[in-house]
Amino acid sequence: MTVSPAIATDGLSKRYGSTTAVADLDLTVPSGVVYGFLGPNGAGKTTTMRMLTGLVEPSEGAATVAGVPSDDRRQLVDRIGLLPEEPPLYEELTGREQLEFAADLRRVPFEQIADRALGLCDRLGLGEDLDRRVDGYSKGMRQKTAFVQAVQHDPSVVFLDEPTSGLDPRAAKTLRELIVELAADDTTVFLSTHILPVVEEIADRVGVLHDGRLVAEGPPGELIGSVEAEGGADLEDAFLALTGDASEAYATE
Amino acid sequence: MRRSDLRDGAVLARTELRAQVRRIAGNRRQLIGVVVGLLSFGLFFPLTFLSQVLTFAEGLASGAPPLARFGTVLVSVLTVGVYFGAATAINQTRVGAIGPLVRTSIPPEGVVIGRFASETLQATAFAVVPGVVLLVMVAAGAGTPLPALLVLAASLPLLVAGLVAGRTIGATVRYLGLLSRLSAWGKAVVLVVLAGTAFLGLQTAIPAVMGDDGAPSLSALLPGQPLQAYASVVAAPLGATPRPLGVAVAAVVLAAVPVGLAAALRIESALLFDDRGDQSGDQRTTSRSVPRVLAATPATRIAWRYLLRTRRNPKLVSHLSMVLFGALAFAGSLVSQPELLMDLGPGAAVVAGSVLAGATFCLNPMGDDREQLPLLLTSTASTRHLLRGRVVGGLVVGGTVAVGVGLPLGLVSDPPLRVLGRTLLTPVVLLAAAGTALGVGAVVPKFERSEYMNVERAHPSTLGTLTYFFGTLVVVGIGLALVWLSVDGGSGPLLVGAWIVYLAVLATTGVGGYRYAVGTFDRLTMDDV
Repeated sequence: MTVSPAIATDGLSKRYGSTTAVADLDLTVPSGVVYGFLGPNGAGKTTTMRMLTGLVEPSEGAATVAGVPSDDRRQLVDRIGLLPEEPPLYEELTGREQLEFAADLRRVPFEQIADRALGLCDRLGLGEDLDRRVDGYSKGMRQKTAFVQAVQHDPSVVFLDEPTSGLDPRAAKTLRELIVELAADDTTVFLSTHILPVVEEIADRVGVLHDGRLVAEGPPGELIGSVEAEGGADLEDAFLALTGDASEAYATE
Repeated sequence: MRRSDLRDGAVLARTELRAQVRRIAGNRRQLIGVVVGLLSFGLFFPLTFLSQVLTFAEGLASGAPPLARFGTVLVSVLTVGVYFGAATAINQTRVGAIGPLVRTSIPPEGVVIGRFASETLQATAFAVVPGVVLLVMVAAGAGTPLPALLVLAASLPLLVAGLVAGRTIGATVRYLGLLSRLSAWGKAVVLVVLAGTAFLGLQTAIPAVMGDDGAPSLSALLPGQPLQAYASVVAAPLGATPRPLGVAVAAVVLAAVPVGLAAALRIESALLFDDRGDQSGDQRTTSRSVPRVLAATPATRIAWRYLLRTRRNPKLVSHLSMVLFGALAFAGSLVSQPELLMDLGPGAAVVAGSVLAGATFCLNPMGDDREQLPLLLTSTASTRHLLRGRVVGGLVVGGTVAVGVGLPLGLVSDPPLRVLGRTLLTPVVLLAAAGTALGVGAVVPKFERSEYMNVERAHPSTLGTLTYFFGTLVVVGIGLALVWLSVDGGSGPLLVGAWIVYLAVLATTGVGGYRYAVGTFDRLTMDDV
């Protein structure tokens, strides 16, 4: 029996006027893996995530996420969770009210998911602050709340954009553990971050986007191995080698 | 004030102005709005006063300048200056993200000078075109440019003094606001009471000032006597006899500029580093569970969260100040005709409730949630639940006014049948209004942040809001008239036909608006924002 991939794209492209943000992206992400999505600033990572979550329409191509077309919002929302770079929280609500609100948006009674949601909050050290208003939260607390909001309904695929941004080392470590546990529970984690050691540590596969194009794809070890001949020793070296064209061009000039 | 402060202030002002010009030039809709506003206000406003200006100009050139009218002109200039000065001092939210950089890069005096200069120039830019047109009209009416030049010479110091005095007043108000440690709702209540008092005061004063009922007339009551004396000094080349009081007034006006500037500088510098902050972010809040009455469905629970957020932060409904102005107009009428409370009160409550049912949460349903769109669009299979939540929230607010105020008043003043008819009509018009408002919000959604009533957020479209307000006023008014006709003995096919048409209109706009909004927002993507 063939297991359908969690994410599959076919010639996915996005143009803004004359600027091409993502070009002809063919991507296949198996279920239940942590997929590290890397790329320099402006490479098109956020745009790709937005297309995969139905937030923007592709100019060309198509994508399926958890077996449904990414433009079928009705089907898609039950299967995905999203933590964007800016946590989408209401300043006037408390953390608990925010999580309840997110559950109501999905028409899931919060009581059904409360154990999971509050358990995640406790593990992230947010439990005692849940009844404080979001406008008094630090950046890290907002990030934790938004993470729980993205995964509390147990989605099939979760998209995380810089999830450890603003977190202290302990919380960042817990979050990494949670991501691994999510994948172990068959949730596919699509992880975009600039913190390469994190990806190297927890990602099963890695895709590197550069100037809107996928320039490399595979397990981290494979990517590292591909540049070892040039002296590369870790994912950072591989990343720099794969995306170094622009800086090299500047250097030559 | 050091020279370096002036230099730093000039750099800051130049940068802010350049940024503002680029912001407007980069947004075609905003650019067209500014150009149209400048041209229409610049031309139509002066033309409204064409005959009065020409008469004034002829008087100036006649050898016996009309000092009473000149005094009125100068009072207007002073008022404009004070208003813009105070408004720019109070509206300080635009310091925005660069605030910390600016505050830690140049001395506070430089920041204050720079912001004062840039904000004043931005605020008064709209007055330049009509000002020039008015001066040209004066020159044309007088047949010589000298009177226009003298009007300009008299007006400029007053305008600057007014701006500085207004800035000081505005800064003082902000300082008192911080000292008071009032919550956001407390400040809103104080603002409403002050606005209401001022409005009612004007309503009472205007008949007296205009000379009705044998009261003294405008020119005698104006603080124009000192300004008329000031005008007599400026208009001396035109044949006026200068009065000593005028010289003293001129000295006071000129002295007010540095004194006011020093005071504003001191207060605003202190405000820049005041860490008392906005009390709306009170952290004593604890989580509130959804009350049983609103716990039935996801939509009603969503409604509760909107109500809760508004309870905690009244700035979310700052656009309702337009409704407040309408209510103040009605309250003003009550001062002169108290019997209107019983005659029109119950109906007015239904109208106000209907307006609120749609205006509170439905006029910009997705723009309101601009920052949360990534959550909303990836969590809701259809925006239906979200929009229904907004409708329910609006119905709670509007229903409270329509029923809570209208019903008791009606029970006291109207026959039972009329109360019953109005009570039956109320939920229908409230629902229709909320649905219509959603439709308006879908036709003219606003996702750009702008500043209104000192609140910077994605406010509903002004055009859409006004259309909705007046449309609701008329439509609900017609419904109330139909109720009145029906219960007071009216019958016949014409009335039945009128009801059928009326209910069809309500259904079309209400249900149609809701459906259009659901259809539009279900297709919304971040590309549209």
